[in-house]
Amino acid sequence: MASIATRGTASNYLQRAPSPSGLADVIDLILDKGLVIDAYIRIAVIGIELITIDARIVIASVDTYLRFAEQVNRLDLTQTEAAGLAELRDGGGGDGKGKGMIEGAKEAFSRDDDKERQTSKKD
Amino acid sequence: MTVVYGIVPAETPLDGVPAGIGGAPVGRVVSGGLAALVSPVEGDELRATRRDLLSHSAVLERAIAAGPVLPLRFGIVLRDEDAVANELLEPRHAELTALLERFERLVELRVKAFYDEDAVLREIVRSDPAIAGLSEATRDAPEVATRAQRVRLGEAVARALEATHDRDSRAIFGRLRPLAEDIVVEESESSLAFTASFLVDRGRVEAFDAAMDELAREHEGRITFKYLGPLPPHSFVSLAGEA
Repeated sequence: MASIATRGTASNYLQRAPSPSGLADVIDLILDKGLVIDAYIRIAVIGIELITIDARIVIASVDTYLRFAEQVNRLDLTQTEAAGLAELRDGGGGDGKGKGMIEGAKEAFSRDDDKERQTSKKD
Repeated sequence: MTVVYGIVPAETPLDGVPAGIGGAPVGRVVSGGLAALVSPVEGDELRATRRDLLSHSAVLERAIAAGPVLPLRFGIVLRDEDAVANELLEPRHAELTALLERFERLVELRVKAFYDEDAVLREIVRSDPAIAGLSEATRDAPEVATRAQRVRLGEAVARALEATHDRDSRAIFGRLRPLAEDIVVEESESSLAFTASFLVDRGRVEAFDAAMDELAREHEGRITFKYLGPLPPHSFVSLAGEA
């Protein structure tokens, strides 16, 4: 395996960023972390709680199990580890569908430029 | 109304600080060696638009590049600049000064790890004969007839995934922990990803970078890491009496 030791480019599997690049990162950081000065005004953020709650409910449902089952049954198990990696490196596995459901929801939200009233994603 | 982004030492330069919420210029309110980074906002309400959330974050990112900063959450608004001095900086002077000293050399590095779903599922099927058996039995069978079996399969996969997740997150965060002063591991939203924030001395960021490089290489093909920072210590600051 090619070993490229240069910092930041060691692997496609390390995405380094000095600062949050997308809305999902920023929401993560500044909406529920950081100093809160009690007794001062805070705004209400519409929509974001909804996504979080929705995602938590989805996790342990029968639908999730069926989804996992379907995904496992789709796997090509004859594929060797090495072939699997090669396929991934060539972008075969990187179509974005492989992201977790929650990330999917967050990304959907991020793309929804300036709209606060994001409804829950459908699956 | 005046929105507050963060607290910095009074001598921190403002050069390069981008426009704040609503495009308003960011200024500071100085009191007793402390400065609050602020900007005016119109009306009685802030809307959490994408642009304004990103602006808040960008102001803080610029500040942390210049020196220590105590980041405030989005949406802390006071009546006017006088209120920032009289109701925030002065009554909290000792506490804020102590916090700035404590975080003087410390930054937050945030690590998110995402599984490649197919890769980790393949590992699970290969290492668990029961799962492999259920998969074999349901793979080419009609869906309706094997629904119960498929639910069992999915359940077993979910459990195995949870175990893999716990094992990997413990191992990965355990490797990084010695490089940090503190760590916050976040409750997982999904068994396919995990997140932690590390409070790291500026002098050790490079060592942390190297450790991340190593981890990314070790887990290449199964885990993608998203590594953010140096950030203001969002996950680590708190004031007495804060909920």
